Amino acid sequence: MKRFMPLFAFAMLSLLVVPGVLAQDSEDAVPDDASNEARAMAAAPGATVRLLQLEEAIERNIVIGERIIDRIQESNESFDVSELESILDEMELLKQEVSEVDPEGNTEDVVRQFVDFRHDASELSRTFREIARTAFPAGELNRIRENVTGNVEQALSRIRERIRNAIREHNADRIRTCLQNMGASEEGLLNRIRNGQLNSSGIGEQIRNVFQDMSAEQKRDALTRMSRNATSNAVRIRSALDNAVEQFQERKTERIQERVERINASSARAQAYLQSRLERINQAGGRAL
Amino acid sequence: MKGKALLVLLMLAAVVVASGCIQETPTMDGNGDGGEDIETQQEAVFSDLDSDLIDESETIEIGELI
Repeated sequence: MKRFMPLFAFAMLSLLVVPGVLAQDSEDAVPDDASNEARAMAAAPGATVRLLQLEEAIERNIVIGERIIDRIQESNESFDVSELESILDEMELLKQEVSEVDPEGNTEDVVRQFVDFRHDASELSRTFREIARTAFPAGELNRIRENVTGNVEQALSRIRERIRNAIREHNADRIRTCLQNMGASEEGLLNRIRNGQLNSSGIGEQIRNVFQDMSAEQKRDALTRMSRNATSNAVRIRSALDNAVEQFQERKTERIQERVERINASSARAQAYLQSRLERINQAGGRAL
Repeated sequence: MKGKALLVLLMLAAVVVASGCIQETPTMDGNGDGGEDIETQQEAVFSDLDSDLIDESETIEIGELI
């Protein structure tokens, strides 16, 4: 009996340890926010929405960043804002790069670029925040935050309009596929989605009503097709996200090198900043996501 | 005696492993038409669809600047 105890103990220990080892492998995964957002990118309309939303988020931070620099220059003349200005210069380049992605391209390429650019946007924002917070007394940060983040809507109105239309097109596209799988045709419903007459919960309610009117056999067939479609999309996005993790660090270095080359010659400040950022990334090596 | 104890331990280990591996099989609703299966599948499919739809108020957050 004693001969088998070590074997038994090893088997039990393995049950406890293996899940932990597998969990460690997932540390290099794409962050949850980006993964959830990428769900919608299986088709071009959804990819269009996500890319425009990312462009908007960058644009919004550029507008707010400029206001923060103005505030610093008004209240703390001796504070060196050159690094903050360089970050905004890089954000401008980044915004342009996002706008140049073709949402109708290969899903894996589009998702990978989205993950890369979203990471850059978050990293630049975090670096800006860490520097900007040292320019003001800690007790004033809330008041300044409120002042600089107000009234950005006007500056973003054009891109917001494009996002609104893209969301309606994405939702209509998703419902069109759903209706095809149900063997139904509801042009009226699709038009109401495109015209913005239904929000997402209203759309869900309407499509459920269409489904309820079907026979049991039609329901079974429709559910089979819808499940197959959902699985196929999920597998494609999962594969794209897994690929986005591969060689992330190498791609990041290449992106910054390209920005150094693209930056306007008159902006020596931004060029110097990008060079120093590149050096820091190369020194850091290892994990990036 | 030792053999029986070993057998009990092995069965216990098998139960522990099996409980982690076996998935609950879907049940019928009792009238033989698989109605509960359809309802379960329907809920999963439409819940998935809800997640795919995007609300116009949704935005991407990349972090504050201050």
